[in-house]
Amino acid sequence: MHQNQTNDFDLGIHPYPDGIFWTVRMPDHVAEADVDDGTASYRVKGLKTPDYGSLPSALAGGPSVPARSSFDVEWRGPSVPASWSTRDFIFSGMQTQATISWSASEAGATWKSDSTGQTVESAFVGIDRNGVFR
Amino acid sequence: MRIAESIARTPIGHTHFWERAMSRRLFLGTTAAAGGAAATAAMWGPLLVDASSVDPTPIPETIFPGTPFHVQFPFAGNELSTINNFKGVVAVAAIAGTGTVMDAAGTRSRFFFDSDQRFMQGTYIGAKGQRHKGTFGFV
Repeated sequence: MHQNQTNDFDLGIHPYPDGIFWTVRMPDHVAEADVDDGTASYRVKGLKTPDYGSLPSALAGGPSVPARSSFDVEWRGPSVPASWSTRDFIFSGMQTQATISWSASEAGATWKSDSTGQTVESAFVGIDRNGVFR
Repeated sequence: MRIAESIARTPIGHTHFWERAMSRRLFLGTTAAAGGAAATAAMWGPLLVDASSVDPTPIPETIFPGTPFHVQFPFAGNELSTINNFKGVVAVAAIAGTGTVMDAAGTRSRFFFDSDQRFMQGTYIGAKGQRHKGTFGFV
């Protein structure tokens, strides 16, 4: 996609380049899950997600413009158990389906996703244990 | 959230952006660019490291060997969390789709998007070694 990419909204890397990747602390109420059922929700409004323009620019710590995103991700649907592990972590949960409704805005433009025609390439809900909790 | 230009001008397939865009070559190329920034970051290290005692630490894994990016593809077999010393719920959804963008003049056009949304909710050991509970979102 990056050859034709026009926008890249993400949370940045803190500290750059080897810190926490595209991840920030959020209020507990934005997310909930029932691992046994393979269901979850993740709902955020007005999150600051700078637009780096492209993935290469984002990964290079390039310039960004202010932008905000809102999204509602729902995990539900047919699910099957899924688990795997390495010496560093254990994941055990469900592989399931998911949908997303999102919008984003920055100076001069507003984006909104379609609710239909989505392709789920990966959807998991589970318990992860890593590091000292492995 | 990654946005590609107009659907009419840019037909693309359904492989995920991680596969399309994040080739090992791209990451290694980006790593070279990041090297300069890393040198700069080292100068500011004490300030950044002291940011918060409750900050989590990144997973040890990186996207490819030799790159500095502590994230793995959102697929089975990989570490889906981005924070280390963590136990709790992780949910991951990698979804592709379409949408509409409206510019300041009110002109609408269509676009493709790829998203990788995750959250982690549970217990973790912060950067200063103390146990915390929290929720983290990945966008």
